[in-house]
Amino acid sequence: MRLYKVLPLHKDKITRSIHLPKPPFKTCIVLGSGGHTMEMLQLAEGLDFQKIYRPRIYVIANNDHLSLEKVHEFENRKTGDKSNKYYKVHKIPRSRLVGQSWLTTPFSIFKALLASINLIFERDSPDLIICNGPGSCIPVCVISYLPRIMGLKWIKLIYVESFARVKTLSLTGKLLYRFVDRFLVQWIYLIEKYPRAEYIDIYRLNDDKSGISDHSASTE
Amino acid sequence: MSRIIFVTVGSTGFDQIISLVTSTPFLQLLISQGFAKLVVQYGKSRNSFIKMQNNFINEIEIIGYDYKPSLREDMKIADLIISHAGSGSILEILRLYKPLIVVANENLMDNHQIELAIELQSKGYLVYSSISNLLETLKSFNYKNLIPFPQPNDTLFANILNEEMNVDI
Repeated sequence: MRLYKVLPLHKDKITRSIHLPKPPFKTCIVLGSGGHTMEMLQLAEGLDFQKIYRPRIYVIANNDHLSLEKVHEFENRKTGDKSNKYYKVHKIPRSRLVGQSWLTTPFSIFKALLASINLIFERDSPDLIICNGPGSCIPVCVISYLPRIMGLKWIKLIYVESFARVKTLSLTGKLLYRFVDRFLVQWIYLIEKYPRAEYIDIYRLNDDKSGISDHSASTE
Repeated sequence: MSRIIFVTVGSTGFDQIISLVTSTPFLQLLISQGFAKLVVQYGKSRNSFIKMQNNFINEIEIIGYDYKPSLREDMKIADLIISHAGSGSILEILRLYKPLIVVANENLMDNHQIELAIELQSKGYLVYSSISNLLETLKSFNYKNLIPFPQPNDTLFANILNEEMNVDI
């Protein structure tokens, strides 16, 4: 079955390499709010925006004004260009507001899926999607599978579990675990429970202890 | 010496901590430790904040507000911060190298926030305290024992992404 073939754990290199694009990559960055947004912008800090990861589409919830401000601030600072045209913001309604009735939830999920369809089936669909756990990344990831199942395009999905999750995955993390191409976690406990997860020590918490951190990858 | 302490509860409320830091014994302790100003971001716990009776108006200035788009300025001027256990706040404070006491809201359903605070305490970056212990924690708080939080590694994630996208650098 096609769906099985397109799951990342099915290491069918041929299927994947057919869809391998060349840089620059249209990069979709899904922001949550507060802590999620801060962590995501920290992740994006080291990316090459000039040559490789452009244009960038930041996905935010439509009432998240704070993240919107942070994105503009971040892009202006990182690119040093206030008239920077290589990014835009795509707003998506929240799938479920805190305290929203379960009765109206299907309608808001439907709206979130529609907004995700607009994002994924734009003239140029994204080459990769980076997310770190807000619920809003689920509709985006679900829709991004459609071109993959149809054999049109393999949109890479990269998931980074929040620094806040020490010993258990978030609900979003558990849901996306099997479906994303790379699943990164920031605490070593999680790779014991989840063999597909890769450990990434962004905050250098293990730099001084040998045997745990990957010294070849850290740049001191 | 006129030191500033900042207390932040984040986007929700946290009545117990607001009541505690505005109580007479707590204010007395702050004054004895040389604090001349207490800034409180109380979120939804406004009622707990306005209940306060400040008997020390001449000795300590107390300012409170519910939310601000950015707490960075209040964090920057503080000599000590007491924060809820949200990871965003914790990271922001540690990256400003501010002495930090984290108090988790143990009423929240999910206790993963406490796990984060305890892990970071075991590495010496902050001090974790329960509400009931906060007064004692502050009494014995040793600024010199804290370890500065490392600078994040910007290249790790970029390397993984470049590898996944087959980019040769």
